[in-house]
Amino acid sequence: MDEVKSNASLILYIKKLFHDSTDLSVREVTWKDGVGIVCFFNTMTESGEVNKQIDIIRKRAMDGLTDWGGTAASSVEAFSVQKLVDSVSNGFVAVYFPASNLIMTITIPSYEVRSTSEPTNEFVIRGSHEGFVESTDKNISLLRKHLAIPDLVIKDLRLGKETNTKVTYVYIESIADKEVVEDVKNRLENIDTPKIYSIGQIEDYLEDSVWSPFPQFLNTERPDRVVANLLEGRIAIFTDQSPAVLVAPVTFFTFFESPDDFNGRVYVGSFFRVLRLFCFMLAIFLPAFYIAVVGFHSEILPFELSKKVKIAVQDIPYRPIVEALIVEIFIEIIREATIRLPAPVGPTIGIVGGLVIGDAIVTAGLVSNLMVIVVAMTAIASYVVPNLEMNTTIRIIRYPLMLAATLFGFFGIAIATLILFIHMLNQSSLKQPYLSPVIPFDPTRFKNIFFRIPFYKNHKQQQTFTHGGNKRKGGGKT
Amino acid sequence: MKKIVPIFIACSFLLVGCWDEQLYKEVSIVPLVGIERESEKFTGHYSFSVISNESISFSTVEGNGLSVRDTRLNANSKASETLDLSQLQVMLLTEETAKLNINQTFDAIFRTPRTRLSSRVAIVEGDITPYIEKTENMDIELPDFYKDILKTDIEFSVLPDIDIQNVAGIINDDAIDLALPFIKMDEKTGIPKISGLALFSDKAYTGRTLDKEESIIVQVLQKKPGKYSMFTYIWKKEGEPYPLTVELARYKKKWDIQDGKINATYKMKFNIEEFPYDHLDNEKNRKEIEGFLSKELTKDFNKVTKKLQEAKSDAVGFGRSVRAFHPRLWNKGNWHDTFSELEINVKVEAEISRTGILN
Repeated sequence: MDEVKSNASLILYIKKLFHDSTDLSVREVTWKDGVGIVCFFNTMTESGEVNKQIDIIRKRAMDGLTDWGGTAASSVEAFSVQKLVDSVSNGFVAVYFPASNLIMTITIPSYEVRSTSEPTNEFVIRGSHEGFVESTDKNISLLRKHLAIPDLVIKDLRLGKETNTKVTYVYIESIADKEVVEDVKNRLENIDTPKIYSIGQIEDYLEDSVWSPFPQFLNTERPDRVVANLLEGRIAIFTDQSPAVLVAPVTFFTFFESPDDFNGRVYVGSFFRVLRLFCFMLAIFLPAFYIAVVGFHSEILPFELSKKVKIAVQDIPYRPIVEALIVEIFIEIIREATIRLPAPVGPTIGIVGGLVIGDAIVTAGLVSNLMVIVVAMTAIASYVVPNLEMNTTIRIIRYPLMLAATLFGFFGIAIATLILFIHMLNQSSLKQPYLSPVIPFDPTRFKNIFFRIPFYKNHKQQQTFTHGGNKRKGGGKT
Repeated sequence: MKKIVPIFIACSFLLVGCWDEQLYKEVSIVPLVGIERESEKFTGHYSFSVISNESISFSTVEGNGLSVRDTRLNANSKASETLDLSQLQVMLLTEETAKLNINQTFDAIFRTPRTRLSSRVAIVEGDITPYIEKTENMDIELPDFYKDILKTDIEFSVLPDIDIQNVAGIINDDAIDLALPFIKMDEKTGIPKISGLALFSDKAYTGRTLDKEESIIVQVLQKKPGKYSMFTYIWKKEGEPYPLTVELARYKKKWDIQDGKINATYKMKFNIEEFPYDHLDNEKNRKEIEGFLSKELTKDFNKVTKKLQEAKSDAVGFGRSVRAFHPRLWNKGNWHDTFSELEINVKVEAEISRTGILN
């Protein structure tokens, strides 16, 4: 009688620990010697499965097995309140045996995970169409499918007192640089914040310089991209509930590589890689160049073109910079709006915004048609870079260049470019130089920026960016 | 330090417009300029762009002053926008202007950094006004017209490929003289046309000109022909005339300079462009033609060098070789005088290398 009463109060106590959440199930089950108290969140666990597992384990206990609790899905430990709270919060089933003061945890996960689909911001034409989902376990399994080797190391960490988020870092032991791995581990462990709920937060904590416009982590949702990077000695960081993966250390040129290059033929891959670098230049310099020409250096226009330009700019009431800002801001607004627009109206609004307003704005004489051409070309060029982070960066850094061009013409562009490159040279990603194959100069890897070398050629294994000299025979001609 | 940076950036906005900014919409393109000079009085005719109904046309403004720059300032106040010579295509000078030291005319052009150095210069006959005002029987704008006719004649070796930048080099070189395109008004059509070259001696126009055929020879003599150089002669066989047009394919020049004498030998290979007599596969015929060409060309080449000597204008640039390798001859006195008294013999050896697709 006394025992029954104490069991009832124990259940109340456990319920109170979780503030009487309605999805918490706390039940009494009879056990060999006394009772067991089963508690779990019925939203994260399949209740029928719980019964089955408990039946199996109870039968093992009845049969008198000594380690009756140790099955593939369960384990038994000494009881503590903290242990109970942790396992229940993480979606385990906890069974507490008051008589022997033991706690058994059973893993029966049941929560919704979206099926894998191609990431919408990283389409490729040739190559795998898999994408990561919002579950680390599933993501790691996708990774393991690509890399069936024991060298693939997966390490877990729990971050954030209030959110208790699982953060996982992955590397290949034989390739990754030990120092860099150690560095990532230390940086992750030093994150001291109560709340972590997205990969972006982790990125802020890990970055060498947060205030730089250039991303120091490759953000991707593609398993094939992560695998390729892991094989180059990089480290991938996952957080649970986020399909995006951070890859580091990266160089500036990593952002211009796409899985398409490697799946395509050698010339094709090389051509598009050079095209992307060219587009980077175009996207940054074209509006600034135009502003400088119209504002300062009209003498460089060929005579035939100069007449057309003259007609175009003659009746524009604003300075070139104002004109440029009107169109640039307008394009950014269209871009931002089309992300949020519901799918059925998206293209329609895009056409209205782009074509109708674009045409009307020229007819109304607010901006010249040349400026619309320049800005439209720039916008298209900035999307050629196969990484969202980098193309946002490109779109932002062209504003200072435009400003420099409007102040000092070509001289201003030269100064701004100088500052830009000084900044890029000072950048690092996990303490590895950002412009790596160019500075510090490494001729063998330098070629790889512009050419996709055939796979059977010996590749220089990249471990770190500075140490160098680590040559490893490539896959060999098969 | 960190506080200074934003202040500096904020202040730099105030600088906009007081630097060397020159908004393109606020300048007026001047593709054609005509300069007249009467001893101390300059008159500049500037053809500037006017935009109406989404199309561009050119009208002319006249400015007077004591210098070329002064005429522009004067014209500026009459035009609606700032006149900008950075799109200059063609500059026309009257004969009177060119007869005075033309360094004085060009100084303002060379001194301004924005001047387009690839623009062409030409001398016009008589008064400048008809050349710079568009007449009704012209269907294209004058700047385009001058640019195009000059370009065509440069291609066909009539004119040397000289722009404002080359003019500066040649004017200040004692060993070579300037020869600028000479433009005349066609009396029948009222449209300006290129008549040949105006010869300069030292820094001034001599008043002597060469016609188009002679101009081609000057280009060939200095071994700087354009894309095509053609010669036409009438070849007579058994009393019947046959036109013979040849195009210069390749050639070698050799100048043998001695004291008081220059023997210039040109070995030329020709393509036959037109020759109705045909039968060029016949060795004897070909030799005959080659002999005929050699004789005619030698005659014409010598005639041109005589003309140059009479004008004391070393447009071919014999002086450059003389200065480099024959200091004794060079130091004899003023090169222009020495040149006019030299004995120059030109010899042309013609050879037919291709006959076209007929033989």
